[in-house]
Amino acid sequence: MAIIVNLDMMLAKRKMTSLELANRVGITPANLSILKTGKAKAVRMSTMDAICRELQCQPGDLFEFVEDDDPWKR
Amino acid sequence: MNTKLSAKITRWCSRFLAVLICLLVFAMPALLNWYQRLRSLGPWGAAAILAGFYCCVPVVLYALFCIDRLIGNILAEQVFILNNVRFIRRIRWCCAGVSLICLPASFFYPPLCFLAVIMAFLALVVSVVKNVMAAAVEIREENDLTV
Repeated sequence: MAIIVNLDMMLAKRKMTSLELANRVGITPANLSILKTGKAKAVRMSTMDAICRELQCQPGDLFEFVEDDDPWKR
Repeated sequence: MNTKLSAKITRWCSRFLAVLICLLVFAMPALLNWYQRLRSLGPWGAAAILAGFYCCVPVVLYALFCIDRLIGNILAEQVFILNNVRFIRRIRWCCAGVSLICLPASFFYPPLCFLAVIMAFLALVVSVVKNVMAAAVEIREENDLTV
């Protein structure tokens, strides 16, 4: 099981940098990098709420579920 | 609650105890001779206590070293780290080691079996503390990766 974080895609769509998003959301750039690189173990609802508000998107636009035994989808 | 002051006191106590044990290494035979004049220890009692003590000294000194390092990490605000779990595990093994040393010595001087039982119980308590600490380290690591 793997959750892919499509934050880079959304940032590119909204023409926003990671640093800018981190400042607007109120988290450190290091924490945002943890989320972007898929190393995060959990995301707080408040953080997801802030990210979706700043990027004008839905949580489903940011997270994608991919089965581990389906290499073509990755 | 002044945790830093408490940790510093613990550290100084462990260092004081280490110095005391080092002094006892030289003073133990004389102390035993003095005690034997007050109360007989039996034919093998003094030898058992002396042998047990000298076998326990390196184990206890190592445990005190681990305690010193553990407190040092706590004072440096590194509490829930793997190294501390390792130190606690070593302290547990030291307690078990002292218990195992006292057990055969108790055949020659029976009151030492109480010390063996107490140290075995202490090893069990420290084992529980180690398990709690290991769980806390896992929770902290997960928390560090929570955005």
